[in-house]
Amino acid sequence: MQWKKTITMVEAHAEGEVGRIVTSGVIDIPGDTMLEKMNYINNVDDSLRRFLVFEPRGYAQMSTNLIFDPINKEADIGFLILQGDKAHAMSGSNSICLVTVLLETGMIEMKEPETIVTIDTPAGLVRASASCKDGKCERVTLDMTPSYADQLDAIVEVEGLGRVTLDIAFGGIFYALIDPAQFDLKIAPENARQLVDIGSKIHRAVNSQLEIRHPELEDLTGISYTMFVGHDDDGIMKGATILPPGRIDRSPCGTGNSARLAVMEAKGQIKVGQSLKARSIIDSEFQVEIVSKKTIAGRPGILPRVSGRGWIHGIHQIGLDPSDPYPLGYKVSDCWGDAFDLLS
Amino acid sequence: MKSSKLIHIVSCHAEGEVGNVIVGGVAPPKGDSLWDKALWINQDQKLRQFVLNEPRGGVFKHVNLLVPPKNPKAQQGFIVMEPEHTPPMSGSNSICVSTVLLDTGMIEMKEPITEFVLEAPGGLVPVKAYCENGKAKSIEVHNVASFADQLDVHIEVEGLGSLKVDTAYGGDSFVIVNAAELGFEIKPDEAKDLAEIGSKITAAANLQLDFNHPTNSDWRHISFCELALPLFEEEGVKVSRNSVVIDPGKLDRSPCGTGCSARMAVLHAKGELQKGDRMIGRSILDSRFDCSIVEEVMVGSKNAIIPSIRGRAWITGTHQLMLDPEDPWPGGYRLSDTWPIKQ
Repeated sequence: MQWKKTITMVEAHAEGEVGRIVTSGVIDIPGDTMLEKMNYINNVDDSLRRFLVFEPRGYAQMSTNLIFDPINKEADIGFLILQGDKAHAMSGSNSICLVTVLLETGMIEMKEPETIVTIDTPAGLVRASASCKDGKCERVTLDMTPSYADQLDAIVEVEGLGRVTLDIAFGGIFYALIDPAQFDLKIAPENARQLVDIGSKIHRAVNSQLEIRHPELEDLTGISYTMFVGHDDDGIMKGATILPPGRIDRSPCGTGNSARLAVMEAKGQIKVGQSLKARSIIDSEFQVEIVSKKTIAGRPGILPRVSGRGWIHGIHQIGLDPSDPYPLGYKVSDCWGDAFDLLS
Repeated sequence: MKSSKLIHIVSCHAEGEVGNVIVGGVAPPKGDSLWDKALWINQDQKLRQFVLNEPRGGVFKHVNLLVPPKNPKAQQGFIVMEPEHTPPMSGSNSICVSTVLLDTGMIEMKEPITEFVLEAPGGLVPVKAYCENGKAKSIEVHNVASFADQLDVHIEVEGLGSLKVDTAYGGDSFVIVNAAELGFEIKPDEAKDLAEIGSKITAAANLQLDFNHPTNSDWRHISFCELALPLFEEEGVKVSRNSVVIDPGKLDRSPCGTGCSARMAVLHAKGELQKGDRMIGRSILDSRFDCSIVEEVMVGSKNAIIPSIRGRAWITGTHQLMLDPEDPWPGGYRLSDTWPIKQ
């Protein structure tokens, strides 16, 4: 066996969504800030991302995360999220995987009953609070990006679906929140492919028919994701975020629920400090709440908080045989989906 | 970190198709023969679910369990676990297993050629490994006897009308259709459509055609649809560019060893390939198997061939799969976005 590249990772899932943490084999990525490091991967050299994320070493329904010494000295760890489309700035489920792995492998010392881990991300510092007991990181609570409702009860015309009513909200990125009852469809594992197909159609319609622009971040226009939002029969919130080119977040989705909370607050459906369960398509749960109201560029918004659980399920050494013809991997649309036009 | 389970895996792909190998951490399954052991694994489902389902697996992964051989002629036994089936044999998986055995030293490598025999649930698989500088460069396996079943029969497929198909066995059972007639070139961006149409064809074939295995009356089903372009030539050798749709609707990234065997059996039955002839298998990724007809044999009353398949594989990782005792999904989960529902 011969490898010319070896990378070690610990794999965890947060409420069903896989986040692998690279623990050795990558020394650094050029850049003086986490944002520059992310941009380096997205704009200069994405060979490492492709190697880790694409088949045969990766697959569609997971993320691979890089960790570094933090650049901001207030932080404990620097963090980048690699997915099938590009490197991303922040993700709730991946942050839960990160904190679980750091504490349960002893890379950061676990203090019971609570350990605070501050994460340096391209989107700024993220404060994570981990509830720990008997050497297990039992729950990770994250203060999320300030979020606001942008357009309530907007209507778009979607080919084959007719008029679709939805809300547009910002939860770190823009979401279109859609009630799947409009299509007589429940959020359930066997409906995942249908939800992806419908979500992709709505995604295209929203970005061509609605004007969506962040008031402060000029480059941020249009939605990144659609999210189906409904309720289970017991009244618990249920959500499914569609991740282009064609799969659903297995976790309840941190940024999606931040956007949802902002809409619920704007519609008077939730109060500050009220804690609710938010379920995923596989019935995993986040606990979500609004910490406080916050004005964002003159618009009423909220500070959301999300918590969930992570579990380690593997340790991997990923290698590259020098004669392997696929050092950058490959993706095939049967498993990856085909809505490549929706990648932002 | 707590774990109540620890399974050791060497991951590998053969011409793009992942075939991971469990090298430790699993007790041998029950059963007197490898066939019975595979049946037991399929009925029990626990190991399959743990290694194949999310979050540890995914529909594109196959996992092979090494087991002690039962036949004294074999050096190593293995059982293939595919997303839906626990099949008798797989070409790409036997190439992965052979590469892992040699490259990790479980079977001693002799350069330039190491020969040994694997035992699959479907029978013995003689292996000839071409080795250089400590690497198994390519693996040639002799597949189980392969035969054509029904030639040029018609099935009705919803949305596609009447299709002319062949059925054949190449270590597993196939319905083979002309991909060009359906408008395909066999390219990665067609994968989703190929998978959906192929699944429909397999389902229709199972309803409308009986599969007749002359020596195994239990085998009545058709496992896979092979969408194949009409033969063309590269450097004077016939080329089968094909895509095999593996249940529940995922494409083989390799040219598919059993699929190439089944197609050669059909071409042999139609007089287009003779004993000793070569055929190149090309996959949707353009990766390649070098195939040939080694022998003509009989399976019961049917004419059959012994095909050989030669392809390359590469180790991509070593893994320890674990289970946190508090993990709510010890058997994992499947979603229809990436794991299609079987038609």
